Amino acid sequence: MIYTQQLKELLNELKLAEGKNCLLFVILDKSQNDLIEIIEPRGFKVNRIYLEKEVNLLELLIKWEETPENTVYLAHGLSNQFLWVLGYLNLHRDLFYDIKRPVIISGSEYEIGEIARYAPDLWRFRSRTYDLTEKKIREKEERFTMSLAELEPMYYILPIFEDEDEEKLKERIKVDEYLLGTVRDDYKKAELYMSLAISYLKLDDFERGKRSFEKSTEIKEKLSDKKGISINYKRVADIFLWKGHLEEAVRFYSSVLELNPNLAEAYSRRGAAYDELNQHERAIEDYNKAIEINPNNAEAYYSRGVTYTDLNQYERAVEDYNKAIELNPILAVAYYNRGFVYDKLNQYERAIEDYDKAIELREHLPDDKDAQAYTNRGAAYAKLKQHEKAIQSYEKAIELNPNLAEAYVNRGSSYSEIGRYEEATRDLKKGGILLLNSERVEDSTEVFSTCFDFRDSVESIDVAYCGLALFFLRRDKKVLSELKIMRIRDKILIKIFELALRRLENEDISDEIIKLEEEEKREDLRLLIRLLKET
Amino acid sequence: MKAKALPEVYDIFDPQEPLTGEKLREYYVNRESPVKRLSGILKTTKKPLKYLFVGSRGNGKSTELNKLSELVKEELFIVPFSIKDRLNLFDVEYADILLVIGAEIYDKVSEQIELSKELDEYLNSWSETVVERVDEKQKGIGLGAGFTAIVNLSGKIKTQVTTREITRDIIKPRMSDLIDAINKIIVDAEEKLGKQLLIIIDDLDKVNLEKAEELFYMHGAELTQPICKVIYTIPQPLLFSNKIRQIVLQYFDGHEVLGNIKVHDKNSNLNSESCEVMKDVALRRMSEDLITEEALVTAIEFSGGILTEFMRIIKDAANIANTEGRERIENEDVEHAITEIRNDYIRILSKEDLEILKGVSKTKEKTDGESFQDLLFSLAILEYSNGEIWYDIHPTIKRVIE
Repeated sequence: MIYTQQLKELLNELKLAEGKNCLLFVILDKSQNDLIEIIEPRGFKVNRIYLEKEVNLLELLIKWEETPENTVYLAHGLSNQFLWVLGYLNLHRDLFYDIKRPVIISGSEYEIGEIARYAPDLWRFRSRTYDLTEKKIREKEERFTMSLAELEPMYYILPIFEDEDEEKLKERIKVDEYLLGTVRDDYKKAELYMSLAISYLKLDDFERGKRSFEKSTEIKEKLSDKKGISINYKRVADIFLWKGHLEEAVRFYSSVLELNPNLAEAYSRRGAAYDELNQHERAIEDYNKAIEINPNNAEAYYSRGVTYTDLNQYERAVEDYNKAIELNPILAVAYYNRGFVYDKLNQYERAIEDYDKAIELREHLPDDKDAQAYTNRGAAYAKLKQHEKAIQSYEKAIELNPNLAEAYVNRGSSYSEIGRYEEATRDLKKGGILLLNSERVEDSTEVFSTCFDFRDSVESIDVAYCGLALFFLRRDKKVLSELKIMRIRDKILIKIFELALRRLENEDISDEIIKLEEEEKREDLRLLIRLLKET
Repeated sequence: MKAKALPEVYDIFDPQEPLTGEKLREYYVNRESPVKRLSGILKTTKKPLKYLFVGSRGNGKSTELNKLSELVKEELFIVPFSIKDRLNLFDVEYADILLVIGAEIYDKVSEQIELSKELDEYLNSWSETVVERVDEKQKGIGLGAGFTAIVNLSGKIKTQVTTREITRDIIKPRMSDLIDAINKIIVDAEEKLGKQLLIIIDDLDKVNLEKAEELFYMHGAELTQPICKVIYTIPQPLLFSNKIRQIVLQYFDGHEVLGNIKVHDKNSNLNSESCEVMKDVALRRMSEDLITEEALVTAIEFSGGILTEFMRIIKDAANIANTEGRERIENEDVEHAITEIRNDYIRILSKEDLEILKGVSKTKEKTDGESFQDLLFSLAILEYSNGEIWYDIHPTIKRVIE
């Protein structure tokens, strides 16, 4: 960056404003890093805030007291949150007054101009605007920049795929409605209506959502803004996809494609919607089209791979995952899914390799998939009879997600394979309980039954527990007679067992159950009491 | 404190800080302002007057209102508050304002006196019905008991949309009860304090025109119900539509305009009296040897008589001079600061705006339409008056236009 007069004055102002409130706007046509590299060697600590997704500038700035005195905040990425900045920040700008650190808001000439126009109160709060662009350097410093604002189509980045709570959405609605009273330019009005539409749709208020969407599109039609209309359809389609309203999503992606037949993303997303609607053939057609338009689209290959997997066409699935990985070597889910397919193809070594890779890239995996990857790797080791390794893998999975039923169940069966029945039955019991709690009753019954089958190999209260649970779930008297000949070493289990017998004789045991419920605090036993009650 | 060096000038010339307390005594300069006359009326009239207070953005309204408080504080019990501290500016409704008025009066008055037992009982039972209903719809909100619960509720509606909506649904159908409660507090407080109440509501001028119309045009009747003196700040453009102006003024006893300091007259000649006022504003804050006479006059001329603009010019010039290693602000520093501010204005102008500005620069008259109001709102056009009203474009952009 060239050391211009503007830059010199900016650095001097930062020095004067150290530890004080001061809001500066900087027009920049380079990366923020260039600016930081100039500022930091002068004894400042730059605290950089990129405005994206849920980042709330004011919430971050409020923590200024925790920063060293020589801190300078640098916020950028305005266009990611334009409507929010213009509405919310504008009306809360007095909070800047309490922040005793200089705050730089940097952006393009357009972005800063928008603030000047539409966030007049925030703008008024500035100490000064610095122009550090090349254009400014070429001009004589004395001369003013004469670039007048033109009415142009413009499209904001709207938060479609982000989780937002009701309170935040309602607040955004208020901000947008307020801005509609301020903004005069039709392009912006249309965008504000669209922003409203998205908030309403997120709140499941489909009537208002649809109405706002229609208003926005109507304005864009009057402006003959074809691109804007297509963007609108795409946004609505995206939000319906995200909300799981798949037929609606398909319909709107189709409208997008009518206006813009070369939008690969619309094909691949419509494909995803078809896939979830179990219309796999149509999904594949769309993915094919997306790949035809853009042969370097890793996501499309990946998605098609998923559909082939669903259709049990494993060789094709592997081919697609290979291609996706070739195009995007850090696409962790592709390794994960290819591992799954190799497992199906009985190629366990390869499956393990892929799970290893997915685990290595775990920060790119969706939530909870990492624990699942460890579990699946464990299962692959188990199929290779490498039970020690399998058990280590399951342990990792449990560490990451202590409620992952499959990890316990699988570890239990690996333990049993190597004759460690006590651990095996303990894990199976835990797995069975977790499955039951997530209402997977059949799976749970199966697991309790497996555990109970070890009653001749090991004498443990876990086996007795599983036996009782199995009896309650299946109401199989044979289980009860098996339990009779077992030695149960736990008072409460004995009590529950006795009550179960009395219940079989049609005795009224409700008082005893109430008493037991009051006394017993252990979760696993309370579950058993509940099952007894429901029998 | 007076600045003795440029870094101190940078600190003290703060465009954002209205003067209060110690600083009001130290830095305040008498200027042409309706406040003195208004204070006289407020002190002598017993009627519960309702006034509107108008002025350009950043021309010193908040400081003048603080000054007004100083002038009447012996005779009146003042309840001042800023709407932006209490409510959410992009979502304000008349019901919120009245609720906050009630809460503010109760809070402020209770610090001084104990309200009569009967009133307390009345307020408690009224509050209970409101709080019960809020509790029903929003479990675990924890508002407490008595009228304090209403004060707590008014605190919550600033940040919580859901609470805000629930509260309005409950308050609006019972508006007369709320106003009744407010008025009972006013009567009891005035009797016990031996003083009349004056409520000053600042920062309502920050809402946009659409919002202001909704508040004052649709709900002026409700907003003027409290039986004590009230001053509301309003956005300047609200008084531009004749129809609205008529109706708004029906409810109120008058409106007072804080004009911009006329550094120029209509024919663009410098007005020496106003210049002296501005000079005084600067020299109460900084030592004379920190700025040359020429630089100071340039800063005054290009401020257009808007105090925050004046502050910003000198603040920026102080930084520029300091960057150059100077210990005094020279004319070129002020010129440089003005160039920067001019660029800021240019950034917000469209071609259509330029045409309007050219016209205003020539005729000094208002034109119809929203664009004119927008330009006035953004200070690209400034309003002046001495008997007659005229308009001019902001002096920093004059050179560009002409």
